[in-house]
Amino acid sequence: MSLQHRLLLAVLGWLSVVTVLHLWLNTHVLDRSSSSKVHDGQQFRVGFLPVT
Amino acid sequence: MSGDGTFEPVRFNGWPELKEAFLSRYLEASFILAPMAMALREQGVPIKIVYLGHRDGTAMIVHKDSTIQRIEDLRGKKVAVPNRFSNQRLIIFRAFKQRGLNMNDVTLLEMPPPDMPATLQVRAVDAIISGEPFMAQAEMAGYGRVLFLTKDVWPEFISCVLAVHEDTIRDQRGQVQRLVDGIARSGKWLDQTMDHRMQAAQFAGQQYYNQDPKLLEFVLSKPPDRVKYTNLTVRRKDFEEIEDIGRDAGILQGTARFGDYADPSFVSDEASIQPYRWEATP
Repeated sequence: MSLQHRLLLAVLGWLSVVTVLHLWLNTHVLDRSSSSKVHDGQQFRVGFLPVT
Repeated sequence: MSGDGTFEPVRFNGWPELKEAFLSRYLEASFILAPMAMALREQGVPIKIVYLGHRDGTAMIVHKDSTIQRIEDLRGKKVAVPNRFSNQRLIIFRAFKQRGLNMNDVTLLEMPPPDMPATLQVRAVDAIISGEPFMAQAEMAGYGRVLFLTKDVWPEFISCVLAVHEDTIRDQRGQVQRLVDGIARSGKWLDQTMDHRMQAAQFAGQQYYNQDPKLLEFVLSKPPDRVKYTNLTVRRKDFEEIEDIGRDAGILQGTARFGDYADPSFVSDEASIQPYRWEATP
Protein backbone atom coordinates (compact mmCIF):
# COMPACT_ATOMS: atom_id res chain seq x y z
CA MET A 1 0.00 0.00 0.00
CA SER A 2 1.42 3.35 -1.01
CA LEU A 3 1.87 6.27 1.36
CA GLN A 4 -0.88 8.13 -0.54
CA HIS A 5 -3.35 5.31 0.13
CA ARG A 6 -2.39 5.16 3.79
CA LEU A 7 -2.85 8.91 4.15
CA LEU A 8 -6.23 8.75 2.42
CA LEU A 9 -7.38 5.94 4.71
CA ALA A 10 -6.14 7.82 7.77
CA VAL A 11 -8.03 10.97 6.74
CA LEU A 12 -11.22 9.03 6.00
CA GLY A 13 -10.92 7.19 9.31
CA TRP A 14 -10.41 10.43 11.20
CA LEU A 15 -13.40 12.02 9.48
CA SER A 16 -15.56 9.01 10.34
CA VAL A 17 -14.56 9.13 14.01
CA VAL A 18 -15.19 12.88 14.24
CA THR A 19 -18.54 12.53 12.46
CA VAL A 20 -19.74 9.76 14.78
CA LEU A 21 -18.59 11.72 17.86
CA HIS A 22 -20.37 14.83 16.58
CA LEU A 23 -23.61 12.93 15.96
CA TRP A 24 -23.41 11.29 19.36
CA LEU A 25 -22.27 14.18 21.55
CA ASN A 26 -23.66 17.26 19.85
CA THR A 27 -26.78 16.21 18.00
CA HIS A 28 -27.70 13.19 20.18
CA VAL A 29 -28.76 11.37 17.01
CA LEU A 30 -27.17 8.14 18.25
CA ASP A 31 -28.15 8.63 21.88
CA ARG A 32 -31.10 6.28 22.31
CA SER A 33 -31.18 6.59 26.06
CA SER A 34 -31.73 10.36 26.10
CA SER A 35 -34.63 10.29 23.66
CA SER A 36 -36.34 7.42 25.43
CA LYS A 37 -35.96 9.20 28.77
CA VAL A 38 -37.89 12.17 27.48
CA HIS A 39 -40.63 10.07 26.01
CA ASP A 40 -40.97 8.03 29.17
CA GLY A 41 -41.62 11.27 31.01
CA GLN A 42 -38.61 10.67 33.27
CA GLN A 43 -37.01 14.03 32.51
CA PHE A 44 -38.65 17.24 31.49
CA ARG A 45 -36.26 20.08 32.11
CA VAL A 46 -37.71 23.54 32.56
CA GLY A 47 -35.29 26.46 32.46
CA PHE A 48 -35.77 29.58 34.52
CA LEU A 49 -34.02 32.64 35.88
CA PRO A 50 -34.66 33.48 39.53
CA VAL A 51 -36.86 36.43 38.59
CA THR A 52 -40.49 36.75 39.78
CA MET B 1 -44.69 21.24 48.66
CA SER B 2 -42.89 19.02 46.17
CA GLY B 3 -43.56 17.61 42.76
CA ASP B 4 -43.35 14.02 41.58
CA GLY B 5 -39.91 14.49 40.06
CA THR B 6 -41.05 14.50 36.44
CA PHE B 7 -40.22 18.17 35.99
CA GLU B 8 -36.70 19.29 36.69
CA PRO B 9 -36.27 23.05 37.20
CA VAL B 10 -32.93 24.21 35.84
CA ARG B 11 -31.72 27.58 37.07
CA PHE B 12 -29.73 30.05 34.94
CA ASN B 13 -28.32 33.46 35.79
CA GLY B 14 -28.41 35.08 32.35
CA TRP B 15 -30.78 35.03 29.37
CA PRO B 16 -28.18 34.20 26.67
CA GLU B 17 -27.17 30.96 28.47
CA LEU B 18 -30.80 29.99 28.97
CA LYS B 19 -31.59 30.64 25.31
CA GLU B 20 -28.68 28.47 24.16
CA ALA B 21 -29.72 25.64 26.50
CA PHE B 22 -33.22 25.78 25.03
CA LEU B 23 -31.97 25.83 21.44
CA SER B 24 -29.62 22.91 22.08
CA ARG B 25 -32.61 20.89 23.36
CA TYR B 26 -31.14 20.54 26.83
CA LEU B 27 -34.41 22.08 28.00
CA GLU B 28 -37.81 20.81 26.91
CA ALA B 29 -39.43 24.04 28.10
CA SER B 30 -38.32 27.32 29.53
CA PHE B 31 -39.45 30.55 31.04
CA ILE B 32 -38.06 33.06 28.58
CA LEU B 33 -38.46 36.74 27.72
CA ALA B 34 -41.55 37.26 25.58
CA PRO B 35 -39.89 39.25 22.74
CA MET B 36 -36.98 36.78 22.74
CA ALA B 37 -39.38 33.89 22.12
CA MET B 38 -41.11 35.87 19.35
CA ALA B 39 -37.78 36.77 17.74
CA LEU B 40 -36.66 33.14 17.86
CA ARG B 41 -39.83 32.17 16.00
CA GLU B 42 -39.05 34.83 13.40
CA GLN B 43 -35.62 33.24 13.00
CA GLY B 44 -37.25 29.89 12.25
CA VAL B 45 -37.01 28.23 15.65
CA PRO B 46 -40.09 26.00 16.15
CA ILE B 47 -41.06 27.51 19.49
CA LYS B 48 -44.50 28.07 21.00
CA ILE B 49 -45.53 30.30 23.88
CA VAL B 50 -48.07 28.31 25.89
CA TYR B 51 -48.56 30.33 29.07
CA LEU B 52 -47.25 33.34 30.98
CA GLY B 53 -44.95 33.22 33.98
CA HIS B 54 -46.52 36.18 35.77
CA ARG B 55 -47.84 39.66 35.10
CA ASP B 56 -46.16 42.91 36.17
CA GLY B 57 -43.33 42.15 38.63
CA THR B 58 -40.82 44.52 37.07
CA ALA B 59 -39.59 47.83 38.49
CA MET B 60 -37.20 50.55 37.43
CA ILE B 61 -34.92 51.55 40.28
CA VAL B 62 -32.66 54.58 40.58
CA HIS B 63 -30.16 55.44 43.29
CA LYS B 64 -31.85 56.93 46.35
CA ASP B 65 -29.88 60.17 45.96
CA SER B 66 -30.45 60.38 42.21
CA THR B 67 -31.87 63.52 40.66
CA ILE B 68 -34.05 61.32 38.45
CA GLN B 69 -37.63 61.85 39.61
CA ARG B 70 -39.62 61.02 36.47
CA ILE B 71 -39.14 59.11 33.25
CA GLU B 72 -38.18 62.26 31.30
CA ASP B 73 -35.17 62.65 33.61
CA LEU B 74 -33.63 59.50 32.11
CA ARG B 75 -32.49 61.58 29.13
CA GLY B 76 -28.71 61.27 28.82
CA LYS B 77 -28.52 58.54 31.49
CA LYS B 78 -27.27 54.94 31.54
CA VAL B 79 -29.88 52.26 32.15
CA ALA B 80 -29.23 48.53 32.64
CA VAL B 81 -31.71 46.20 30.91
CA PRO B 82 -31.79 42.38 31.01
CA ASN B 83 -31.53 41.88 27.26
CA ARG B 84 -32.08 43.56 23.91
CA PHE B 85 -35.05 41.20 23.39
CA SER B 86 -36.81 42.03 26.66
CA ASN B 87 -40.05 43.80 27.39
CA GLN B 88 -38.08 45.81 29.95
CA ARG B 89 -36.36 47.43 26.96
CA LEU B 90 -39.68 47.84 25.18
CA ILE B 91 -41.33 49.52 28.17
CA ILE B 92 -38.61 52.20 28.02
CA PHE B 93 -39.21 52.57 24.29
CA ARG B 94 -42.99 52.82 24.87
CA ALA B 95 -42.70 55.30 27.76
CA PHE B 96 -40.19 57.43 25.82
CA LYS B 97 -42.40 57.51 22.74
CA GLN B 98 -45.37 58.65 24.83
CA ARG B 99 -43.21 61.51 26.16
CA GLY B 100 -41.67 62.60 22.89
CA LEU B 101 -38.26 61.07 23.62
CA ASN B 102 -36.42 58.46 21.60
CA MET B 103 -33.97 55.70 22.38
CA ASN B 104 -31.00 57.81 21.33
CA ASP B 105 -31.69 59.87 24.46
CA VAL B 106 -30.57 57.05 26.72
CA THR B 107 -27.69 54.56 26.86
CA LEU B 108 -28.85 50.99 27.44
CA LEU B 109 -26.50 48.35 28.85
CA GLU B 110 -27.39 44.66 28.76
CA MET B 111 -26.71 42.96 32.06
CA PRO B 112 -27.74 39.75 33.89
CA PRO B 113 -30.39 40.76 36.45
CA PRO B 114 -28.44 39.38 39.46
CA ASP B 115 -25.60 41.83 38.66
CA MET B 116 -27.82 44.90 38.53
CA PRO B 117 -28.19 45.87 42.22
CA ALA B 118 -24.41 46.06 42.82
CA THR B 119 -23.97 48.02 39.60
CA LEU B 120 -26.48 50.59 40.79
CA GLN B 121 -24.98 50.70 44.26
CA VAL B 122 -21.58 51.75 42.89
CA ARG B 123 -23.37 54.11 40.47
CA ALA B 124 -21.94 52.46 37.37
CA VAL B 125 -25.40 52.99 35.91
CA ASP B 126 -28.12 55.53 36.68
CA ALA B 127 -31.05 53.13 36.64
CA ILE B 128 -31.76 49.42 36.50
CA ILE B 129 -34.83 47.58 35.25
CA SER B 130 -35.55 43.87 35.53
CA GLY B 131 -37.94 41.34 36.94
CA GLU B 132 -38.05 41.03 40.71
CA PRO B 133 -36.63 40.32 43.24
CA PHE B 134 -33.41 42.06 42.16
CA MET B 135 -35.04 45.47 42.03
CA ALA B 136 -36.51 45.04 45.51
CA GLN B 137 -33.06 43.96 46.69
CA ALA B 138 -31.72 47.46 45.97
CA GLU B 139 -34.80 49.01 47.55
CA MET B 140 -34.62 46.87 50.69
CA ALA B 141 -30.89 47.49 51.10
CA GLY B 142 -31.62 51.20 51.23
CA TYR B 143 -29.68 52.51 48.22
CA GLY B 144 -32.43 52.07 45.62
CA ARG B 145 -35.61 54.04 45.01
CA VAL B 146 -38.49 52.98 42.79
CA LEU B 147 -38.87 55.22 39.76
CA PHE B 148 -41.83 53.20 38.53
CA LEU B 149 -43.49 49.84 38.82
CA THR B 150 -44.64 48.38 35.52
CA LYS B 151 -48.23 48.15 36.77
CA ASP B 152 -48.28 51.97 36.75
CA VAL B 153 -46.73 52.44 33.31
CA TRP B 154 -47.77 49.36 31.29
CA PRO B 155 -50.56 47.61 33.25
CA GLU B 156 -50.67 43.81 32.95
CA PHE B 157 -47.04 43.89 31.80
CA ILE B 158 -45.68 40.60 30.45
CA SER B 159 -42.06 39.76 31.14
CA CYS B 160 -41.51 35.99 31.02
CA VAL B 161 -43.50 33.40 29.13
CA LEU B 162 -43.46 29.63 29.21
CA ALA B 163 -42.09 28.47 25.87
CA VAL B 164 -41.98 24.90 24.59
CA HIS B 165 -40.51 23.22 21.52
CA GLU B 166 -43.19 22.54 18.93
CA ASP B 167 -42.33 18.83 18.73
CA THR B 168 -42.47 18.57 22.51
CA ILE B 169 -46.08 19.74 22.28
CA ARG B 170 -46.69 17.14 19.58
CA ASP B 171 -44.91 14.25 21.32
CA GLN B 172 -45.54 15.05 24.99
CA ARG B 173 -48.71 17.09 25.04
CA GLY B 174 -49.82 15.50 28.31
CA GLN B 175 -46.63 16.59 30.06
CA VAL B 176 -46.94 20.13 28.77
CA GLN B 177 -50.56 20.22 29.91
CA ARG B 178 -49.53 19.04 33.39
CA LEU B 179 -46.86 21.72 33.54
CA VAL B 180 -49.27 24.47 32.49
CA ASP B 181 -51.95 23.21 34.88
CA GLY B 182 -49.44 23.21 37.72
CA ILE B 183 -48.34 26.79 37.02
CA ALA B 184 -51.93 27.96 36.63
CA ARG B 185 -53.12 26.28 39.84
CA SER B 186 -50.06 27.51 41.77
CA GLY B 187 -50.72 31.03 40.54
CA LYS B 188 -54.33 30.93 41.67
CA TRP B 189 -53.22 29.57 45.03
CA LEU B 190 -50.60 32.31 45.37
CA ASP B 191 -53.04 35.10 44.66
CA GLN B 192 -55.74 33.67 46.96
CA THR B 193 -54.44 35.18 50.21
CA MET B 194 -51.45 37.14 51.50
CA ASP B 195 -50.74 34.22 53.82
CA HIS B 196 -50.20 31.97 50.79
CA ARG B 197 -47.76 34.51 49.34
CA MET B 198 -45.77 34.53 52.56
CA GLN B 199 -45.68 30.71 52.60
CA ALA B 200 -44.49 30.72 48.98
CA ALA B 201 -41.74 33.21 49.85
CA GLN B 202 -40.40 30.73 52.39
CA PHE B 203 -40.24 27.60 50.25
CA ALA B 204 -39.42 29.27 46.92
CA GLY B 205 -36.64 31.29 48.52
CA GLN B 206 -35.09 28.26 50.18
CA GLN B 207 -35.73 25.47 47.67
CA TYR B 208 -35.68 27.11 44.23
CA TYR B 209 -34.33 30.66 44.19
CA ASN B 210 -31.68 30.37 46.92
CA GLN B 211 -32.68 33.86 48.04
CA ASP B 212 -33.59 35.41 51.37
CA PRO B 213 -37.29 34.65 52.01
CA LYS B 214 -37.63 38.13 53.51
CA LEU B 215 -36.72 39.61 50.12
CA LEU B 216 -39.42 37.53 48.43
CA GLU B 217 -41.91 38.48 51.15
CA PHE B 218 -41.14 42.12 50.34
CA VAL B 219 -41.66 41.56 46.60
CA LEU B 220 -44.92 39.69 47.12
CA SER B 221 -46.44 42.25 49.49
CA LYS B 222 -45.14 45.77 48.89
CA PRO B 223 -47.50 46.50 47.30
CA PRO B 224 -49.52 43.27 46.92
CA ASP B 225 -50.09 43.92 43.21
CA ARG B 226 -46.38 44.46 42.50
CA VAL B 227 -46.46 41.04 40.82
CA LYS B 228 -49.49 38.95 39.90
CA TYR B 229 -49.83 35.23 39.17
CA THR B 230 -53.34 35.07 37.76
CA ASN B 231 -54.71 35.95 34.34
CA LEU B 232 -51.77 34.20 32.70
CA THR B 233 -53.54 32.99 29.57
CA VAL B 234 -51.78 33.87 26.32
CA ARG B 235 -53.99 36.61 24.83
CA ARG B 236 -53.70 37.72 21.23
CA LYS B 237 -54.13 41.46 21.91
CA ASP B 238 -51.29 41.54 24.46
CA PHE B 239 -48.87 39.93 22.04
CA GLU B 240 -49.98 42.00 19.06
CA GLU B 241 -49.14 45.07 21.15
CA ILE B 242 -45.66 43.63 21.85
CA GLU B 243 -45.34 42.85 18.12
CA ASP B 244 -46.16 46.47 17.22
CA ILE B 245 -43.80 47.99 19.77
CA GLY B 246 -41.09 45.45 18.94
CA ARG B 247 -41.29 46.36 15.26
CA ASP B 248 -41.18 50.09 16.07
CA ALA B 249 -38.18 49.49 18.33
CA GLY B 250 -36.42 47.48 15.62
CA ILE B 251 -36.08 44.20 17.51
CA LEU B 252 -38.86 42.32 15.71
CA GLN B 253 -39.37 41.99 11.96
CA GLY B 254 -43.09 41.24 12.03
CA THR B 255 -42.61 38.01 10.07
CA ALA B 256 -44.09 35.80 12.81
CA ARG B 257 -47.64 36.39 13.96
CA PHE B 258 -49.60 35.25 17.01
CA GLY B 259 -50.66 31.97 15.40
CA ASP B 260 -47.03 31.17 14.60
CA TYR B 261 -45.46 31.70 18.01
CA ALA B 262 -48.35 31.11 20.43
CA ASP B 263 -50.45 28.09 21.37
CA PRO B 264 -53.08 29.20 23.90
CA SER B 265 -54.94 25.88 23.77
CA PHE B 266 -53.66 24.57 27.10
CA VAL B 267 -55.91 26.88 29.12
CA SER B 268 -59.14 27.60 27.29
CA ASP B 269 -60.97 29.08 30.28
CA GLU B 270 -58.94 30.85 32.98
CA ALA B 271 -61.96 30.91 35.30
CA SER B 272 -62.14 27.11 35.35
CA ILE B 273 -58.71 26.74 36.97
CA GLN B 274 -58.95 25.57 40.56
CA PRO B 275 -56.22 26.65 43.00
CA TYR B 276 -54.23 24.00 44.83
CA ARG B 277 -55.62 23.07 48.23
CA TRP B 278 -52.38 23.27 50.10
CA GLU B 279 -51.39 24.83 53.39
CA ALA B 280 -47.96 24.88 54.97
CA THR B 281 -47.47 22.51 57.87
CA PRO B 282 -46.48 24.46 60.98
